[in-house]
Amino acid sequence: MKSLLLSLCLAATASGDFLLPAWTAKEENVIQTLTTKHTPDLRKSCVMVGRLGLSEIRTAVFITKNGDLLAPYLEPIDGDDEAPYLLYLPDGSRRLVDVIEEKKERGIALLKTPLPEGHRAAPLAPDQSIISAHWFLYPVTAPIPKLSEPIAFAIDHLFPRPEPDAVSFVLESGMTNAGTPIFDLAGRLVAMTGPTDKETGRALLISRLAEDSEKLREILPERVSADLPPLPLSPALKEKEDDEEDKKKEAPSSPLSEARETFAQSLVPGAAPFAIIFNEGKAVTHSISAVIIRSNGFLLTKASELGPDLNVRYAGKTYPAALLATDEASDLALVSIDATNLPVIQWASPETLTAGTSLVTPILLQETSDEMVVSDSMALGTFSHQLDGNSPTLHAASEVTSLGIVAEQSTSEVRVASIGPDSPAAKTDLKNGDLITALDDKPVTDRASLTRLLSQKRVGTEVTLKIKRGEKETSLSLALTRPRLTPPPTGISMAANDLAMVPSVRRFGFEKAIVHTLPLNAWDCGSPLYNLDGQAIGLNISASSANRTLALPPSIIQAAIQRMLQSSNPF
Amino acid sequence: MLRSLFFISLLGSLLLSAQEKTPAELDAHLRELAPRLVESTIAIFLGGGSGSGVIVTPDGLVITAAHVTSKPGQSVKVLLSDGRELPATSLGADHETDGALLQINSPGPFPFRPYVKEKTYKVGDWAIATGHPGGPIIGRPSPFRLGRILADGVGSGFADPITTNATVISGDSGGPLFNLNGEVIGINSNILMPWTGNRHVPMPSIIAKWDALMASEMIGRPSQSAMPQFEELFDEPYRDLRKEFLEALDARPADDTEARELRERPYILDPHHMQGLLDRWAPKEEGEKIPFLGLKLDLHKITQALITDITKGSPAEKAGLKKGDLIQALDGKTISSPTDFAFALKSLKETTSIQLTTNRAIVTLTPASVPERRHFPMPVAGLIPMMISDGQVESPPSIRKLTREFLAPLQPLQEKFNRSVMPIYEGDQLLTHATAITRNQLITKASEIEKKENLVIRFEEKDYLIRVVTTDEKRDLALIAVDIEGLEPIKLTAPEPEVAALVFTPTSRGLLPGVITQPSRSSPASGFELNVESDQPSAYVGISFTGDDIQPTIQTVELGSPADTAGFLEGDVITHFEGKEIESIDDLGKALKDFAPGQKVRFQLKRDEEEIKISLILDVRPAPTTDKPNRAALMRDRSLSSLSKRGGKLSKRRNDFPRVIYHDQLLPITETGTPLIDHEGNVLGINIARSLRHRSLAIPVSEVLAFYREKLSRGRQTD
Repeated sequence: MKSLLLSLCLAATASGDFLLPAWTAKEENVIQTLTTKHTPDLRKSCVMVGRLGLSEIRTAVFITKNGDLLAPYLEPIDGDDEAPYLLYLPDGSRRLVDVIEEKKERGIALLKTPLPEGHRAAPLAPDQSIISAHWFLYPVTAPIPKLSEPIAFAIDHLFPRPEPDAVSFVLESGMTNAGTPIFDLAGRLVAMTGPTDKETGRALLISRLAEDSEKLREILPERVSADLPPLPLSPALKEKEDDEEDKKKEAPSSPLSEARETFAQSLVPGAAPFAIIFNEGKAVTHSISAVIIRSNGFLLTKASELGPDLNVRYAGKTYPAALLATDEASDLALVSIDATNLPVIQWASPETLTAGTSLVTPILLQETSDEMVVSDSMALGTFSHQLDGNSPTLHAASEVTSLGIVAEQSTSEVRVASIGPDSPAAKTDLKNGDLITALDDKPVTDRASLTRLLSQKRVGTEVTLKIKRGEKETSLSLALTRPRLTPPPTGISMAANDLAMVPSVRRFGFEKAIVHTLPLNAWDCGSPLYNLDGQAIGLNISASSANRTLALPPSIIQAAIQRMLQSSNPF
Repeated sequence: MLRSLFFISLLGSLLLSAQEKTPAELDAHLRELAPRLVESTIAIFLGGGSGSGVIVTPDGLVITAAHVTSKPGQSVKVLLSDGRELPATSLGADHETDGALLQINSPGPFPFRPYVKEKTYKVGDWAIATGHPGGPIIGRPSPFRLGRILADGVGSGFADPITTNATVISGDSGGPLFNLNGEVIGINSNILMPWTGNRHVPMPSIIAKWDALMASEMIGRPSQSAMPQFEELFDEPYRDLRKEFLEALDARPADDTEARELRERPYILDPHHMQGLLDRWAPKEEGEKIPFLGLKLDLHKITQALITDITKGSPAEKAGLKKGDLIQALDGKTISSPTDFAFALKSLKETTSIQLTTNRAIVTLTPASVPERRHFPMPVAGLIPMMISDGQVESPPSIRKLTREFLAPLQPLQEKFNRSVMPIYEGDQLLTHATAITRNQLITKASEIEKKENLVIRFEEKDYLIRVVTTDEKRDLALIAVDIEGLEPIKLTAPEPEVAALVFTPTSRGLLPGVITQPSRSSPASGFELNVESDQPSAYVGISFTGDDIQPTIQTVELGSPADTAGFLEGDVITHFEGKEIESIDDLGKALKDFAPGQKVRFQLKRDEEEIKISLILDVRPAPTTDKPNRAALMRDRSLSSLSKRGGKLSKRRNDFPRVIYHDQLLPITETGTPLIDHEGNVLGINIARSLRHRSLAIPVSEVLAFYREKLSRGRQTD
C-alpha cells in the first residue's frame, strides 16, 4: 500500500521545478483501486449530522471508538446556541448527541455519541503522510439525502500552503465548506477544512487543530505528535495570465491533475458522438451539451435548459437545429439537425459499478471572459451509488414533528401566522394571531423552546397547547404531524461557495439516477458519462451541487427515447 | 372609487412629464448633485468582507443592508468618503426586507443625505446608485451610476423591490439609491443575472420598521440562518411561475379534464411545461410568437413526416388533417422528414395561410400563433450572499419610449457621426467599430482585429479593405488606413469629463446613454488594483521609519510626498502630532487614522537639538506598487468578471490600460472603437471595453493623441 502511494507522487517531488508527470492507466488504476477499497470503510466511519432547526445536513467523522465525533460547526438558527446537534442514521432514525467543544473560528465541533452499529473510528494519518500523498478524498453529502443514501466521496488534489501557515492546505477544486474531513487514499483522516478566508478554502492538519484544543489533544492517540516535521515547499502554484486564469477560476491548478486529464482524453472514442447545443438568448448565452443518437442528426440533451433559438456546434461546424420532442419524466429532449453520417453513441450497462470507480465526462464548454467557448477538456470523478428517486428523504423519514403551523417571523414569541390546510391544527379552534404559551404544561417562550419541546415528541402524539387570544387564555389538543416539505435545498452555501459551480435549472425528480462526484456545471449536462473502458454508461442530467452530479442510466434513457420517438411535441 | 383612482393615475403621468429634464438640464443637475451623493456614501468593513452604506443624519446614522451588518450590536469599521476610518455599531437588521441601520461612534457632523419616508418614486424615474463595487479601492471614490426605475416596489428587497438598470455588483450591497433630489429612496440589495436586474430595498419598507431598527431589534433570521430563505428562491427559481400556474389551475372550469388530471400530479418539474399551459389558458400579448398547427409527428420514421396525433380544435383539425396522413410538402417545398417539417414551419415569418400537401389532399390552413419556447436562465449563486437569478429583466416598452423621448433632442448628434464611425467586419461578422481621425485614417480597438485578415469597413453597402498602420498594445489602440470617399474626421479637443456628466455613444441603433462614474485614471490589470484594507490609514504623509526602532525617527522621505514638500528631513524625530505627544511609531499610526486626505495637520519635530513645527496637507495614500498580482485582488477581479459575464458579454481585453474614462453605458462589445461624446457632441474619448457589469471604459482624447504622436515620431525616425 505504502509503495503504491509513493509511486503516485514520485514524479511530482522529483525536482523543485515540478515536472509534468506522465499519467497512465497504471496510475489511474492505483487511484481507482485505493478509492474503491477504502470507500466502504470511510462510509463506516462517517455519519450525517445536523442541528435542530436547520435543514442542512453535513458529514462528521468518528475519531475514536469511544464515539468522539469530529463534525462541522453548524450555525444555529435564531441564535439558539443551545440547539442540540443531531445524528442522522441511514435508516431514518436520529438521535441527539453531546457537544464536547465548539470551535466556530475553526469551523469544527467536537461531539460525542456511542458508535452506531456497524460503524468504526477512522484511523488518523501521521502528519508526514501529507508529504508523500497528493490525492485525497472528502465526503460530499447530498443536500437533502434520501433514505439509505450513502455518503459519496470525491477525489481532490491538495496543495501545501506556502508560509506563514505551512500546516494548512489548499483544495484544488476550491471546495470551501468548513468542517469537512479530508482523508488520504489509505482511508486515514488527515485534515479538516476551515472557514473560508479571503482567498480560498483551506484545510488544517488534525494535529494543528489539536494545538488549540485541549479536548482534542486529550482524546487523540499519542502517535499524532504536535511537533510537526518541516513540510516541503509547495509545488509552485501556476500563476497564469489573466485570460487563462478566468478559464480556471479555482485558483491553483496542479500539473498532476493536468496529466490526469490528458490521460482521460485518451479514453474517449476518436469520432466523438457528442456536440454542443447553444441558444442565443436575448441577454444570456445559454449552452448545453448533447449526445448523438442517430447518424442522420438526432441529438439527445437536457430539456429544461433549452430556449427558443437552437443551434448545434459539431466538429467545428454550426447547424441550425429544431426541437422535436421533450420528455418530462427524464428531462430529456430530442433535437435534430440536417446532417448525415454522424458517429452515434453506444450505451453500455456494465453489470456492476462499485463505489470508487473512476468516471470521465468530456467538458465541451468552458466559461471564459466573455462567452462560453468550445473546450476539449475532461472531468474526472468517482461513481458513488445508484439513487432511487422515489424513496423518501432522510428528513421526511426522521421523526421530525410539527404543529402544522407557521409562526410569525417578526417576533421571537410563537404567534400563529398561518395554519397548514391539511394539518391537524386546521381541525381545531386554533386561529391566526393566537399566541402559544405552553406545550403539555411546559412554557413556550420563543420558537427555539418550541422546537426543542417538539423534538422530544413523536409524530401522531396528542399534545395540549396553551394559547392566548387577546386577553383570553384557553387550551386545546391536537396530534403532531410531519413538517410540510419545501423543495429540496441545493446544499450550495452561497456565502461560502462563491461561484464554485452553476447548478442546473432542474436538479431533482428523476426516477433513477447514478450519483457521481464529477464537478460539473449546468452547461455540462447532456454530456455522456464514460467509465475507464470508454463505455458510455450514462448521460449527465443534473449538476446538483458542488462535486455532486446525477446521470441517467441507459435503461432510463432508452425508455425516454422510445416515448419521444412515438410522438413528437405538437407543431 | 374608480374615478378617483383614475384621477390619481392621470396626475401621475402629468408628474412624469413634468420631471423629465432635457439632456443638458440633466447633465448640469447630475454634475452638481454628484459630490454630495458620493460624499455621503461609505464602505463598511465586517469580518473578511465589505459592504456599503449611506449616512442619513449629521450625527452619523447610516442606512445599509441587513445582509451587510447581519445582526445588531456588531462592532464594525466604516470608511468615509474622505478616507477616515471610524468605529461603528450595527443597530437593527431586518432580514425580511434586507434593510438595516448602523451608528457611527464618533462625533459628527458627517456629510449626510435626506431620505424619503413614503413612496415618492415611480416606474420610469431616474435613479442614481452609489456604493463600493468590489469593495473600496485605494484612490477610487464611490462610482456614480445612473439608471431608471423599472419596477417601483415598496416591500422587501427580495419580494417587492425597486428594480433599476443602474448597475450594481458585489460590494455595492447596502449602498444607496437616490432620486434626482438627492434623497435616498432605496438600498442596494441583490441582483439578477441580466445587467438590467439591479434590486434595491424600498425606503418605505425600512420606514415601516424604523422604530424597531432604531431599537436595535433583529427582524427575521440573521444572515447565516437567513440563507435558507434565499436558498429556497435559488432552489426553485420558478417559484413565482409555479404560484401563477397553480392559481390558474385552480381557476380552470370543473369540466376541464386536463386540469383535473394535472391537479392529481404532485409536481410539474419543467418550467416550460407550466409556462406552456399558462400560455394556453391565459394568453398574453407580449413576447415572440411562432406558428402552430396542432399536429404531432412520428419520429421513428426518418424519411417521412407521418402525423400521429392532432390537437383538438387546432388549425390542423379544422383543415381536416387526420392521424396517419403523410405530409409531403409545405407551400410547395418538399417535406421528407420530421426535421424538414420542423425547419419549414420555423422559417415561416408571418402566420398567413399556408398550403400543406399530404398523401390524401392539398389543404390550405392558417396557423395559430403561440408564444415561442421561453428561455429560463440558470440560477446563479454569487458573491453577494443573495445573488439570485430568476427571469430575465428587460426594459419594458414604456421605459424604452421614455429613453427615446429623452434622446430626441440629441438626434442631430447621432447623424453628425454617420460619416465618422465605421463598422469593421470579418466576412459577415461585425467585430468592432473605428472612428476617423483623418480623411483616411481611423482609430479602433486593436485586440478585436488582431491576427485577422481581409477585414473590411462596410459603408453605404460597400466593403472597403482596411490596412493596419500601427498598433499600441498598452492602450489596445490600432491605427488603420482605408480609402473611403467622404470620411469625416472627428475633432479630438475635448477635456476630460467630470464625474456624473452625461455621456453618449453613437451606435447603429441610436445613441446609447450613460454617465461618467468616477474620475479618469489608470485601469490596472487583474490583481493589481488593491482594496483599502481596514486598519490602514488612508491619509499619506510620505515618511517611513527604521524598522527596529520604537522611537519615530524618520528614515526616508518619499520624493514629492507632502512630507517632502513640507521640508521633513531624514533623521528628524517626531515628538508631537496635532499637539499630542508621540512616543512611538504605533502612536503616530493610530493618531493618523482619524485624519483624512486633504486635512491640514501639525507636526512637531526634533532635528538635532532643535524643535521644529511643520504643518502639511495630507495626501491620498498611493497604491503600493507591486510586480506580482495581489492574490486577494485577483480573486476579487475574477469573481466580479464571473458575475458580470453572466448578464452579457464583456470585452476580451477589458482592463490594464494606462488611463481611461470610466462610464456606465451597457456597451455591446462590438460597439467599441466608437467615440464617447458629451451632450454637446464633443468627443471625450474612444470606447475601448465593456469591462464589468457596472463599467465600460474609454481611452481619453489625450491618450489617443499621445498614441498618434508616438506613431508619427516613430514614423519619422524610421524615415
